[in-house]
Amino acid sequence: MNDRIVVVEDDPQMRRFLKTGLEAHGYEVAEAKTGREGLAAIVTRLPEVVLLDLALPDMEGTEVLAEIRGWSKVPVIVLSARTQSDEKIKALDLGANDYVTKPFDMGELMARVRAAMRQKIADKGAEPLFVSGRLKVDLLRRVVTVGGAEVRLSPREYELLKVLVVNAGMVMTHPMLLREVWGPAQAEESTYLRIFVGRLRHKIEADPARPKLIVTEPGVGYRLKVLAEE
Amino acid sequence: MWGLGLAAVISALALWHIRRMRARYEALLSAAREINAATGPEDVRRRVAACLTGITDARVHAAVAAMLAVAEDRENLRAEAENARVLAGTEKFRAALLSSVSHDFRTPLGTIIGAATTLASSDAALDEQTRASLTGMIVQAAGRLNRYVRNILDVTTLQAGGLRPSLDWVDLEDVAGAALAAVEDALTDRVVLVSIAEGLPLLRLDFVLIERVFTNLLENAAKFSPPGAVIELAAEQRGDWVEVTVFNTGSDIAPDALDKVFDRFFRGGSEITGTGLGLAICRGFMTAHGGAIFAERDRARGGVRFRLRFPVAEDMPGMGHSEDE
Repeated sequence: MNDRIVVVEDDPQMRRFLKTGLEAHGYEVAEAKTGREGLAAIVTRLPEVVLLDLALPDMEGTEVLAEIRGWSKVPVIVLSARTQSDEKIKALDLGANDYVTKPFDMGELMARVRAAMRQKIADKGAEPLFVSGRLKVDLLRRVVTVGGAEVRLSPREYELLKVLVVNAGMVMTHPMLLREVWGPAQAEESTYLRIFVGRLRHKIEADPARPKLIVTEPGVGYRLKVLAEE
Repeated sequence: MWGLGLAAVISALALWHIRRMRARYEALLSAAREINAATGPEDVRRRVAACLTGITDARVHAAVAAMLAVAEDRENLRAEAENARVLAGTEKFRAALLSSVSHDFRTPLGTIIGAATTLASSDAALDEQTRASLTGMIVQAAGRLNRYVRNILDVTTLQAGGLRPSLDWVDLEDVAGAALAAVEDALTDRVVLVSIAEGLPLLRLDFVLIERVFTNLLENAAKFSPPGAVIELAAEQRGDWVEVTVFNTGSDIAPDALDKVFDRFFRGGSEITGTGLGLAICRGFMTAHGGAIFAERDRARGGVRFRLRFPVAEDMPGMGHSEDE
């Protein structure tokens, strides 16, 4: 059986485009025009992933999100028309797993959907070996290699990389990373994060000024890209 | 005796009179100062009323009222003139914006409609390669249109004075990386060299806005230089400033246009497409950060360089004791 996706979006053109695109990639799509319809569809269809527009006619997208999170952990990718990063951050705080900003690239959306699907599988038992491009992270042995050569990371750098690996392909906001790596007390100390991301890039990226693995989501956070093995 | 007594009385009276005059003069002076310190027309009325308390002479009240009326007329005229000036500026801005929209949106829109209708028409026999080329054209034109819309949103935000940078500690290497990734397509046949000095301090900036400055400058460098040209992005500290330069070979700016390039709707050349907004946005965003931007010609290397200056914050927090290196 194909993986199911519920699309909650009021704009008919956008819905049609998403249905066509997702079905072409082999997903089964259920459409919903309003927040209420969306919630009902999630209950009855039990999808693998939900695509949720933030601007709906009957209720705020963030309200729908809060309601879903009341009873389900289904991965939710927010479709945001607003360029303001505040909206995205609010949705991520409320439990959205990721977002795309309209207008978006279909390839970009598919990468997010795949990452969300992978995340759902990973919840059942983590993959001990992560590979992306020339980077390999062995979570069991705590060994990191780039192009086959071992890279020495400080304990903190390794923790940061580990959190990104566990959530590979998904955006991690600044507060999320700070909480996970430095603890709840340091959630505001964004300078730590900037400096450690910089250091990590210098150790694992081919060109730290043009990173391909740890990419920045401006104003939101960081994302570890999942690239084909090199 | 009488004469002496009279003289004493007169001089005593004169002295009293002079003291009284001086007291009144002092009162008048302090009242004038008091009124002069008023913050607006309403405040003037309040302060004048306060100074007039205790004065019973109706002539004084009438004279003050007449003076107030004249002053208010003048103030109203000034406000009207200011309003008219702002309104004219807004009108001019709207007209320029409209002309930019109708002029610059047509080209990509035309490409999209043309290519899409060709693909949609069932009677045209299109091979795989033609289809791919047509869809490629649509993707490119839509991307350009998207950038125009973003620029227009940015410039209207600046015009409306609604820009509120959300400041956080930012690593310029990080900004450079995000900007380079965002304009990757535009840089394909250019030689891009990046040199970010090691150990630059973190700066307190709005990441999103400064990334827009970098992307606009890089897009600009690609737009005005021929394929194969060199584009350099560099950052280093110079005293209290961090300086970022974006340089490209193969283009020039007329000396009298070095400042004008930052004006809204200024266009580098008739054959170049674009809204003429990119550099105006750069200047607007840099100013909002207390920074500066300059353009200069590099005749020795045959190119154009843009310099950005960011003030270094004095209160950059240290790494604390909890760190492990």
